[in-house]
Amino acid sequence: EDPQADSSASPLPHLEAKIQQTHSLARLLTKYAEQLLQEYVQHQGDPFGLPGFSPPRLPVADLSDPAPGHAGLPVPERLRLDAAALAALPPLLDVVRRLQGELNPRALRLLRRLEDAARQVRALGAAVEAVLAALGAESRGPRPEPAAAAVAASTASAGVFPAKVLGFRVCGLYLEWVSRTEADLGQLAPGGPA
Amino acid sequence: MPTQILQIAFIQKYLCKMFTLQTWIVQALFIFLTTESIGELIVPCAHIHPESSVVQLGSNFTAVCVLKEKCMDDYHVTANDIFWKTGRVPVPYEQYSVINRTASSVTFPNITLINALLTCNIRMFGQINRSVYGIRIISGLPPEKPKNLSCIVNEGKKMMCQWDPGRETYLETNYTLKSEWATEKFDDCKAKRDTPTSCTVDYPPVYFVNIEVWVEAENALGKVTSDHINFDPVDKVKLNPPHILSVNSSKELSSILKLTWTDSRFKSFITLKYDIQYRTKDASTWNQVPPEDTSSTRSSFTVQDLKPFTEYVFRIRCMKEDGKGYWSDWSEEASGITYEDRPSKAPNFWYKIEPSHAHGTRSIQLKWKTLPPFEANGKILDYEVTLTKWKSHSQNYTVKDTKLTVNLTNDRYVATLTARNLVGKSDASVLTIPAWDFQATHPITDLKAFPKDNVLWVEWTAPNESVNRYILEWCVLSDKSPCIPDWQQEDGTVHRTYLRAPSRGPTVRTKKVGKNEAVLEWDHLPIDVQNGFIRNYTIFYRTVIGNEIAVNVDSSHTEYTLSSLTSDTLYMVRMAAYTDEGGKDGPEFTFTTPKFAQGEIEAIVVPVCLAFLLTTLLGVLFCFNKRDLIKKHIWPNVPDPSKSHIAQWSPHTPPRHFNSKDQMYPDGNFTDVSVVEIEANDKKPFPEDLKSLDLFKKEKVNTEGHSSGIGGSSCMSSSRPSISSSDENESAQNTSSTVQYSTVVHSGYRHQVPSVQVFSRSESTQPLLDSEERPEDLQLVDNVDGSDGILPRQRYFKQNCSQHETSPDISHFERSQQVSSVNEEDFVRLKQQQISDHISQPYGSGKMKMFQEVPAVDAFGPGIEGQVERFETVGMEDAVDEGMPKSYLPQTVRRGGYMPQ
Repeated sequence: EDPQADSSASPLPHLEAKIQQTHSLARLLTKYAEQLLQEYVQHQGDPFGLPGFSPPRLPVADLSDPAPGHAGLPVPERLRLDAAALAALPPLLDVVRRLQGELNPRALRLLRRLEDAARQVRALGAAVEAVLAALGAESRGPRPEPAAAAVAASTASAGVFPAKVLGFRVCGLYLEWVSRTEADLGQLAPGGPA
Repeated sequence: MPTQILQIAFIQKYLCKMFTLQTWIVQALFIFLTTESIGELIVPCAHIHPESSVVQLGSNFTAVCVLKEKCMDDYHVTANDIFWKTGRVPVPYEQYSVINRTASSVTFPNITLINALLTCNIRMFGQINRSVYGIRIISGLPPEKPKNLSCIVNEGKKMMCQWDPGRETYLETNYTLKSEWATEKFDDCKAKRDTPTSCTVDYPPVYFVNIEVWVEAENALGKVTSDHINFDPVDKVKLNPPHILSVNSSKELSSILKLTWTDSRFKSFITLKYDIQYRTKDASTWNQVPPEDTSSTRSSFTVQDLKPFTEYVFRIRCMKEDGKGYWSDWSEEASGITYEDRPSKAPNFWYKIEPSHAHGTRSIQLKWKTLPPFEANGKILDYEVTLTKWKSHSQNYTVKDTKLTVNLTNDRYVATLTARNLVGKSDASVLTIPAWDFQATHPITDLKAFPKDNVLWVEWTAPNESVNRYILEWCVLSDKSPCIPDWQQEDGTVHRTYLRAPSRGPTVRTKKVGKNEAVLEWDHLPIDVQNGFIRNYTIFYRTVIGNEIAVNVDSSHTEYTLSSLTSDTLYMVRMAAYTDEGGKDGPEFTFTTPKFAQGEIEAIVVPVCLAFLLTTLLGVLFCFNKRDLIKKHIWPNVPDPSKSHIAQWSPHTPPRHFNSKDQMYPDGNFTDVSVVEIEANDKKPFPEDLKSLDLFKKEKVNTEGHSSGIGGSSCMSSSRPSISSSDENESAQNTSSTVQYSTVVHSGYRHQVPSVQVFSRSESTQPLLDSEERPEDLQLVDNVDGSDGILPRQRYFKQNCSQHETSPDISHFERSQQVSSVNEEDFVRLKQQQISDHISQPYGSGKMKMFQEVPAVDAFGPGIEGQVERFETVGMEDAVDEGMPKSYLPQTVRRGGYMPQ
């Protein structure tokens, strides 16, 4: 077949293109996050698959659900919060993958999804940071990620059920934050799909 | 001492072998390296510098061989004695350079492609050459910087990158694809040896994240890195091809087909564009839908400007709308047929006046040409012909054929013809049939015909008046066939044409007929009969009861496959060839599709046969394994009494062996055993038994032999001794409730009459051979009054196991009588059967002879002490009772119950 022009894109061509690309990534990861949560629940057994199951939405380490007032904040501020949450997610996803490796060693697709999710959310976080930088709004410096992961790991060591609940919570948070990021980037790139 | 000598000889032999082997090894080693031994270490006699042997092509290479002092002393050589070899080829001395007494160098200028062993050799006293060291020289090139690095992400698969590695290096070169995000690095992707120009990464692609990729090439001569490329994998994606769901025609518009498809789920994230191509089924080139009409994501498209009632084939591919990435592969092809349209042209129409004998009428044959498919625009259902006489009503005809014969008056008529298909009628062709007395006033002149360019041209001079149209008529003049007129129609404006319509259609035949398809083939029409350019062929095929189906085939083809046929069905097929002027049908061909596809019957028959063979084999094996059981139930062994223990027992004589077939007691010797069990209390015998008993009592029979009970029957299987009795000798033993009688008749062996015959009763209840327990084995042999030539008889004793109650009141004598009577009765009943049996049982004949000597045995009876059994033979030569069935008596005969005393 006739390959198209093999033009190598420059790292940050234009702001608009970068926003659009990041927005597309957030949309893609939202889809992936839905699939991950679904796959996760399938492998945990009851009561995770039951309709009424809703464990307490406790904060995991330093990461919590998007605040109710999140939508009212200026976009750069929202993106800063998004970037902070996205930065906290990879070590948590790694912890969940490690725990699931012990609980469900044969759930290879779930484990692969968790591994991919950690990598992808890092990429999304970096892309959001890049957008923030392009917008002139710097993010808030380094974050204490390892500590959060250690807390999560200690929580998980309490038992099988808490470990499953932790994973459920992390996957839920992953979905919420990438979804939130998508929405926030959508404010900057109203053009729709790239 | 001899042992020591042997040991020494062995050791010498062993050492000799060892020495021979060692000599060989040493010699072999010495070929390559002359060494000096220091203790157990092997030290080379020289060294070559450099040890590294990979040399860049085109460069100068110098190697230096340095001899060891000790080696020099041992072999009396210096650097002057060094010479070099590449492989087995000596290097010219011009390339040598003696550096000092111990070192010599060799230089290879502008080294070429080489892969050889470079050895340093010395020439010793006596022109003996030795190799003292060697290195392998390999020449090659350092890797070039990989160029044209590009990557592709096949949807659903991992990213693959490829590059141009540049010139050949002639060396083992490793290519490593490296990739990283801004946030992290990925694992290296090492190209495989057999595909050094590409590598597929291990991780799944993440779209919308820029990735940086480059290639490192490395071999022994260097390492180089390609340019880095940075891209978003989504811009390198090659999507999966769309899947065409349907191609639908429109009844309202016969020139369109609507194509619907599904494509990548990825389309929710990126905008796609499409490439749609189509062609008629028999065409080879594709038409393109304008790209600007398909430049956005969609799932259907309506292709326009198509011909009616024509089958079109479509294919589609897609890619990212911005043109970044790659076109997907083409989809599977899908086809659809446009809807019919009314015939676009009126058929060419002409007539012929046939002679008629009726006065005042004419027979007119109206004829017309079939429309070619591109004008018929559907299947022509029929033609409508209207004949109108001047100022009269019109007559309408509906005809399926292409001709119509009518009787008309001599008046002038106007005929119209329309072709009709499912959608509508064509325009009407109008033809005037002049009155019988009409004469053309303006005929054409100068009609000429001449061949040119392989067609026959016809030229004429037009009349001065305007002409609506011309009709050309012709026929082939041939000695072989009559003049069959053909015709063609031309516009009124032309005055030259060539004969265009084919004069005959192609002859179709089958090349291969399958269960559901048939490959048709035909030959191109000869030019002489083409009469123009064949535009296309049409294949018409139908079943006996089905509708005719027409398929248009490009004129370049000579083969076509009819598919979706029904198996085991008769098909009729014909072909028509069409020029611009019309078509001509060829002969019809008939074929039948087979009921089974090729190999289908074999696929059924072979497994069935194998299964049958397997079943048979298993059956045979089963029978073989169970042959004893089967034999027991179907043809049990008829015991050979001669092989019984009793039969083989003979006092004072060795056991004898009878061959029942070959040696039928030639000397009249026999041994037989019979057992009769009779209920002691016979006051109320069973009717049958009673009857036989009475009969027996009335007859006085001289018993010639001894009757004795041996052991007990199987029913009576008791360890009690049975009671024996006889007419002459009554036994004192009368305690048994059941009297068991057996007859053991022994007359010696081969005329060797034993002097004393004493039988004692054993207490053992061990049966004889299995066969001896069977009731059918219980046989008595009649003694037929000592007369020769009288058939012997077998005796089967009946036993009623239920009548085992005994009556102590019955005396032994009575019992004996009963026994005798029973025996006689049974003999009577079985005589008839036995007579016939004797023919086939010569063994019985032998028994008869044995009975003849019973009196000699009987003489010993009274002298037997203890449990003396009575030996009784019953001669019944006349009594016949046909109604008595053969009875079988289970019996236990105590083995060895009688011992010679």
